[in-house]
Amino acid sequence: MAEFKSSAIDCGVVEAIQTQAFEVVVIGGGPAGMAAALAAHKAGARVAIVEREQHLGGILRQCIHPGFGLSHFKQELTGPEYAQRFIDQVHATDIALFLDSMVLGIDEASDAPDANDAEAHTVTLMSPAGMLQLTGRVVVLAMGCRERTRSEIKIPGSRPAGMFTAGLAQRYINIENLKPGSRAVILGSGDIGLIMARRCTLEGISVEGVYELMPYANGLRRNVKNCLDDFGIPLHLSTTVTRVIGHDRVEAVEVSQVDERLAPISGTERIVPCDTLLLSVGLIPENELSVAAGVELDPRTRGAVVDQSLQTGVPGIFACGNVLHVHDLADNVTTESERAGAAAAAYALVCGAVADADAAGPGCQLTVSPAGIAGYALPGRITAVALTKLNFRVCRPVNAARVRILAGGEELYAGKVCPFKPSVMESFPLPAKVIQRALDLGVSEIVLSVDPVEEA
Amino acid sequence: MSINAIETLQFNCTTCPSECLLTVEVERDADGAVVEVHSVTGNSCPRGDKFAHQELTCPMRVLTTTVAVSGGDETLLPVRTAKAIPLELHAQAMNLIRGLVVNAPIRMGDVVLEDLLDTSINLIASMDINRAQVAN
Repeated sequence: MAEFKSSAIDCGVVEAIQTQAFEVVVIGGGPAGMAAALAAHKAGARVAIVEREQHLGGILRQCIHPGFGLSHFKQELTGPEYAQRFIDQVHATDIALFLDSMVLGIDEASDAPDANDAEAHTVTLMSPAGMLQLTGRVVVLAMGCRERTRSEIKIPGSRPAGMFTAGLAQRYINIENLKPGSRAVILGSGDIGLIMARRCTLEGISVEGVYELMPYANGLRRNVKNCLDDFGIPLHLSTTVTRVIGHDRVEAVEVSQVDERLAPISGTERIVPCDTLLLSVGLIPENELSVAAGVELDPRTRGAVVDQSLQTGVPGIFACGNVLHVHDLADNVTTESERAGAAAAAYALVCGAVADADAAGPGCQLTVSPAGIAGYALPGRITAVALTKLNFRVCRPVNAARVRILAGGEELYAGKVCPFKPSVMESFPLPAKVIQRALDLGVSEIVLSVDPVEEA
Repeated sequence: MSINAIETLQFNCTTCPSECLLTVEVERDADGAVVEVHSVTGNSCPRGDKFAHQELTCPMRVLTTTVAVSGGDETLLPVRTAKAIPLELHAQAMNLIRGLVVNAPIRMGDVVLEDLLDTSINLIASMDINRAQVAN
């Protein structure tokens, strides 16, 4: 049994960990978690949200800039406004909130806490009131993602103070009222880097330039225009930071141009004086809890392998939002998470066994693999013959390419020719008849291939 | 009398996520001021045309920043201009907003500063902030 000794010495009392039962337990109270919880609640499930911060809202609380809600609310909102609308909706329900609470593990207890329901999952968390266990037939993973750091891109040089991931600097400036430095260089033209270039400038921190390894900007066009062009901040493409200079504090960075294979070109080095280096060099889904719970990850997305209902390989564990794959827009996180929440509630209320039997009925078991310039394809598994939403991103920008669905050497579907860029998460409806055709062919895998076409 | 110059510009429309690439032909006088926008192409809806004209005469942006909070469960309140204001006023607006302190509690939409720099646009709260829980 999961028990622990009371901290009161020798009082002879053994306290069991308190357990509360729900139908759907959502881990994470950001845009993904709130949308999933609201959708599950709407479908009639008893829902809990566990959030490690003191407030709901997740990263949106520090994304004070506009650009949110254009598709979901049909108006341009700031991140906090977008979050507040969902926070208000959550507060208007009886969704149970566990704030300031860190999930320690999923299904870690050796004994199922509820012997009557062997299929229930257990979420163990540390709350301000002590350790708690929440049980639920379904767990929805909505933990979001974190930023890649210097160690992951291996910038040579010393290790002084003054290096921040762009999101950390954003937290300093927008939440904690701290100033990270006074003269900044930004590495990476992802959206967070671009947004921070503007934010630093407005707060009186001079931005020497944004440096981008690739030959194109990685962020949305609107951000290049509104965050760099508006303030005359230069964007240096095919250029990267090759050395950090400074002992106690960053004093300068060395930047170099790179060749087509992204290797620095000797002789192009330039020293840029600065006291702060912000890194906006990519995001990684935060999946330690998922892996510990036995969830299989896709090495391309670094998120869970899921089926069309966003269920992972562990029955009853669903995933959505940036913990599943890094999204471009919060609106898309919301749409996906509403789908996961509704599917989670359906699973929890119908009972897993019945849902599984339904899914297994037509004997549909297809894997989906990316090819061509598609960097990934999601979902990785299809277990039902129905219209299925496929997501993918391309690895490099192209002016003209076509999405094709292939199975056993046959082309089952070809989309129309259009441009693609890596900063955009693409979605594509896969018709049921294409899935049926793949099954008729007797294949176990379909391929989503994005192939550049020569323009006539 | 100097002859006006015709210039072709390209920039993206930022009205919606489609981000159409606009090609705009403008006529400028000797001082570089835009005399007339001759043509806008590349837009897939009328908003692109409107955006291009506005962008070349007086670019407008929503300004977002933070103000200090007194007695709240957060240190800073995110704020925004209720509507876009001229981009050229942003630096001046920042200087004005920087010194503000607001008292908790605050609700999203509350007016933090009326008629910012005579634009007739209010500065409003982007988020709720509750009173700090006082520890006993």
